[in-house]
Amino acid sequence: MDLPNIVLDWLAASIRLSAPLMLAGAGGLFTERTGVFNIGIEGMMLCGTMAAVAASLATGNLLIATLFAMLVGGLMALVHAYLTVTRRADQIVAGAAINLFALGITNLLNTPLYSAYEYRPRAPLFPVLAPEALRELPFIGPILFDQPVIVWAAFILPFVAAWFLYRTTWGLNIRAVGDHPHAVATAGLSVFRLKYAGVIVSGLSAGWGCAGPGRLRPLRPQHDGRARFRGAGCVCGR
Amino acid sequence: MTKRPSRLALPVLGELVLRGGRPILAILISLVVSSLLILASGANPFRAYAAMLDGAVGSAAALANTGVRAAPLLLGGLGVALGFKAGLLNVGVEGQIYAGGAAAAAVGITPLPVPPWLHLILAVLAGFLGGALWGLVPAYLKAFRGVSEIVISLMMNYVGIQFASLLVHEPSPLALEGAFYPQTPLILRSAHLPILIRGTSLHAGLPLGLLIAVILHLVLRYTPFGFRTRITGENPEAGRYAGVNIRAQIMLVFLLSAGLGGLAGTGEVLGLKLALYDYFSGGLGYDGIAVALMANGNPLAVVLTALFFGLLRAGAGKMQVAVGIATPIAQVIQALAVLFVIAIGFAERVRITRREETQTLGEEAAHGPS
Repeated sequence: MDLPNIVLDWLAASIRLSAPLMLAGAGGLFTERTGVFNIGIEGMMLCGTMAAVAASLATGNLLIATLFAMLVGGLMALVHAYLTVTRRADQIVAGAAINLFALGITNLLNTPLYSAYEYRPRAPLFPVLAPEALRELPFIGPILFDQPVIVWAAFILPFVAAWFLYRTTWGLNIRAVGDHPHAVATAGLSVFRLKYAGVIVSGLSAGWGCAGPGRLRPLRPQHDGRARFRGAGCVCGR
Repeated sequence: MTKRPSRLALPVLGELVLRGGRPILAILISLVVSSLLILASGANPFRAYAAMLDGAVGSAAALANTGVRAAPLLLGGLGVALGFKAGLLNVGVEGQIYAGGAAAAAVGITPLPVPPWLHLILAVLAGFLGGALWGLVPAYLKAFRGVSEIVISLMMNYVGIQFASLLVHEPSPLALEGAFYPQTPLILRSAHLPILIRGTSLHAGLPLGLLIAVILHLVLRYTPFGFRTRITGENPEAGRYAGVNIRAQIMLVFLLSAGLGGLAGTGEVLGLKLALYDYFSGGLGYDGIAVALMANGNPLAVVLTALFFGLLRAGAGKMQVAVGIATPIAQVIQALAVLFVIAIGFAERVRITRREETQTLGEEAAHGPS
């Protein structure tokens, strides 16, 4: 492989690999803004990935797989919200425990998940939607257009999240809960409900982030996912 | 000390039972929930747990195995627990394990012109300092710049892991040439941690951890340093008024905490692996955090939780052989135990105590001290 190709591949991969971080990060914003630190996003992504793979193996349908991943992420976020908001447990502690749990359970279920297959099947990937002409543009084509559709979604989602947080009443409430919960309570809004909402949105988006490009394939052993998403969960928290 | 009614009468034991009650209940619940998982995968949970227990405490070798696995969790967990008391969450234990392990290995493989016992002490000290060095950046940023120590120490993990990896790969002076798996040359015999039971790999890291746990407990409770540490965690504002140098205390506690993380890596390198290998820890640091959290930052309770985690890990192998449940079940049980501990919480207990105390105080005010 000659140098230009390596650079091309590298650039395309950077864009592809940034997508899960952006998808999860856009949701992570919400939990951060309600004042709940969600370190468990990584665990939710891990479990969401497994859920997506399991669902797509069972049904072969991408949409169902993605929804299922979001469901699992949302459920785990519900646990996190219960622990941190209702039980007032330490947020870092709860998140770390969720990560630990996710790591164990995905490891444990990895073998049974593929036990029915002789070879590890590849789960379906998101389609590439860009027209042929665009994809064959020199240089820009492979980097920008030869990407699964969810990568594009990833680039749009942060703007949607920003619009939501800064231009809607609901977004204002979310921000207010983090900055000044007493004011929110005085205004007659439920602090608990808003916090739950924020955390659950982060879980949903974690699920949907990991159903994204490059993650819909047989899970690899723990450590790479751990390293990658630990960083993701943290960075997107900011 | 006032006599509290409606409390178990035994002074030490009663307190211990009350304090241990919730975590033990949480562990039981987590075992029950895990047994559902075991059932779902088609095995008998009783046989599975029996095999696990047998593999963890069934023989001298099994006990030694439990001890070996508990040692790094204990040392790392103590580090986190110490930070906890000062309101610091040191999640950089994993990186400190690598830094400490690398430093200990660097001294351990160098033939120094010193007597063997001194070589060992130097290597262990190097491990401690290596870990502390890794804690320097988050400690400084937390104390003097107000940056969250959690994020920084977490990020330092990746630097630590990759740095240790760099050290054991070929062009580095520490790397063993032509090794099958990237590693340093073997640690010299004079720097080996002594083995406690012949024929097993139970090394001196465990008793070292026990000793440190007791020392930490006493120091935190009965010394000015311990008081300053606790006030830093509980009410820094009051501490500042009382003349405590909060920044210096944060620095000091975090460095000590990181140093203990370094000792965890030292124990692994000088006692168990006997060389610095690439990725030798594989998540011990993160489990150390869980150990400390489950113990609620109490050094003596850390001993118990570390042994419990060690027991799970040592027993999981046997369980896999006996009933075919994969070893990650240990991780699941650990995580569930932590989750249930925080869900059931230590909070109510504190509240009950307060109510009782105000009650007794009120009674005393009304009727005079009993």
